[in-house]
Amino acid sequence: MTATRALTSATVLAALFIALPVYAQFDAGVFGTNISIALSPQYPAPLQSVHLTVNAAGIDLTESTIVWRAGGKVIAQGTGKNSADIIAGPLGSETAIGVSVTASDGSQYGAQAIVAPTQLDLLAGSDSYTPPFYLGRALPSAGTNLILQALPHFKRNNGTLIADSDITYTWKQDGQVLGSISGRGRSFAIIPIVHLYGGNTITVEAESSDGTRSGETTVNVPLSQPVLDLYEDHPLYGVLYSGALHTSTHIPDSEMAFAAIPYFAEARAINDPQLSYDWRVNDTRISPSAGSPQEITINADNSSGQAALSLEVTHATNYYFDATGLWNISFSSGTVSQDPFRTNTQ
Amino acid sequence: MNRGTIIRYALLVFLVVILGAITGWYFFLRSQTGATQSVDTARGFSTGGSAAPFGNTGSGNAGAGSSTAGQSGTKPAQLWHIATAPAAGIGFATTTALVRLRFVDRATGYVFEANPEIASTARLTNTLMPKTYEALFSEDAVIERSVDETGAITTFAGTIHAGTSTSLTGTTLPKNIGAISIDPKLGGVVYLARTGSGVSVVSAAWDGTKTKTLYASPLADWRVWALQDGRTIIAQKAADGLPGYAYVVKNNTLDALTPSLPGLTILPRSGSGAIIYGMSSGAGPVLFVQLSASSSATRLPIATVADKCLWAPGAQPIAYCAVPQVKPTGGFLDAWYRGEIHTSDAWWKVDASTGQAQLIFTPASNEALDVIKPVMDPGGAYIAFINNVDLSPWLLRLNL
Repeated sequence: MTATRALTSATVLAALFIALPVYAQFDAGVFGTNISIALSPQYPAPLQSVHLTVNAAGIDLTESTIVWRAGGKVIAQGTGKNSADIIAGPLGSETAIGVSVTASDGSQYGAQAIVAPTQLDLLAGSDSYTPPFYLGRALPSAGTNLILQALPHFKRNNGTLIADSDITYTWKQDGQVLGSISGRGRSFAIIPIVHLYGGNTITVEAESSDGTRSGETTVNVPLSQPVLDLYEDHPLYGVLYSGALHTSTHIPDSEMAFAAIPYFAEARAINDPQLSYDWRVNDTRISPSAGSPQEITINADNSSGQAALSLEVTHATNYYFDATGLWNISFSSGTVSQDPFRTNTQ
Repeated sequence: MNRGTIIRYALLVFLVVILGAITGWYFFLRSQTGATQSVDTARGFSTGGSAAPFGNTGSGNAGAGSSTAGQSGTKPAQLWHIATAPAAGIGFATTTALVRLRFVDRATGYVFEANPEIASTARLTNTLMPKTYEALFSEDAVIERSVDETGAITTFAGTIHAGTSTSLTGTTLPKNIGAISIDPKLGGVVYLARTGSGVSVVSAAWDGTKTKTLYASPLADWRVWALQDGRTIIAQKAADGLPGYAYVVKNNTLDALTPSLPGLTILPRSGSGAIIYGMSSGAGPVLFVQLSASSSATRLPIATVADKCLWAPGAQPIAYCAVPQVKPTGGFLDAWYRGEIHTSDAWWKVDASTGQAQLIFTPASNEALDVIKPVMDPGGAYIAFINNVDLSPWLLRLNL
């Protein structure tokens, strides 16, 4: 038994110190016993500190002499030295890690790994509505789609990038594998948002078809509620998106056109027929502008005081969607009449 | 000569006189058109500089009532309110020997040129482009973007013929371009074209031809920069708390430009690896500067977003940032982008090599300047920007 173990160990050490096969990012070699190297993080990024730990079942590592090597050079050694740290190289690099363990009874074991750092970006967006020239990002709300793109930076040691088509992606939502959208070359995913509350923790795992590169990334995308803002639709300047009207606004004029923007709504366009705009002025329902249901014009000639302008936007099929707003608007105009405000439709 | 002949001659003479009078009246009116100032007093605002007649350098262009309004013929105050009317975009002319700031009037799309030495503005073009929401400049090129009656984004790439013609000639680019940048190296454009499954990053000649897809993404929300050094950079549009990514587009692949950060905003510097980038999450905005791809980032002692910064020309990595005088809190970025809140900024000078920032200008307390689209002249003497409160253009002279 001892002879067999010694022979195995000799073979192990010969393999370890003579030639290091390059076949996996962190694949821990197991030679004759259950000895392996664990990396933390499991998928190191370029130039990231990596903590190495040797695990060996049935071997008392605290009494063993352990030698760590990286790229053929000893980086740590000592009795019970069961861990070491390295800095991962840049993208495309491969660092050979070896550990040799000499147990207290003189038996020898070894394991090896290749640290090949990768970068796997996970980009999140949505197809919810935002107005033209909006500089922010569309956020997912109930009824919209969460759009994700996995962007692997899997570089071989010859400098070439591994193509998408040679990478297999496994998508998970809140820990559950999404088999229908996972697979080889499936680097992006569209996930419908069907819940009103909660977050969406999305994880993607990616592994090259030759098994030499792999990575995993998680992003948590909280669901957003639609935001209803009101802007002036100026006859000369267009919609003044830079200045959302406050809930109490004074208009230095007797007439103004307003445009409502339901940010992050389930809509292809602002006048999407699925959206319904219910405008009220001082509790009186008002028809919106023809062809532009998101707009309303109020003329306060011969009147003054506060116009309580309210709006409720609903969706024909998305019952989760309900955006409301109330703005108290005072116009500069003349005397008060019984019907203080006229709209464009009156 | 009988009586009938006399009458015919008389009528002929009368007709010639009438035609001459009409012709004279026509040319008279035509000559007066350039001096007609349209002020929309009925709506309580003045179109100010944007309504300035072509060639006129009247002081009425400057911000009425502003303590920093310039008086034509004299050097304006250090902070010059160039016009009161909204501007769609601004840019310094680089083809003129003297410093000239050009801006596009939002209502008309006319291009104006401001002379900071004598506080005057003059109209360069008279091609009507109503409701121009966004404009970009590069040398004598201008891009004007609007929205048509169907809600589609329109983009016009025009050329200014200063001194020779007031017409803005050019090409209409494809509809619904999500973002666009003028390519100063190749003289073309780089834009984001909507596709059925996301967007494509497209380079094209100035007239829209010679299109080439540089990259395609299933995500639609990107911003794009085409730099003088030939790099094309894209970054995800920012959202508070959501991770953002920025890349250099290279051979149909993307090279990471910055670390992924929540609410990422960036300002790349042409000709070097230096970059200013910000993050925005629950604690409000934080700004970093990095000198090169291999160096580590330094957190700057100013709380603002990269959108409010610019790089100064020259070899030294100097930047200027407009910094809110009241530190923004969490949720600032999203609310600011939606126009729900405005800041009141002061100007800071940033030395990227040391990571130090120095306050250089604080506006008067009655002037709330929420800076967007800041640009600097090639000599590094002026900063121009648009005030997001009313979209009016301003100019700050750095040296008193």
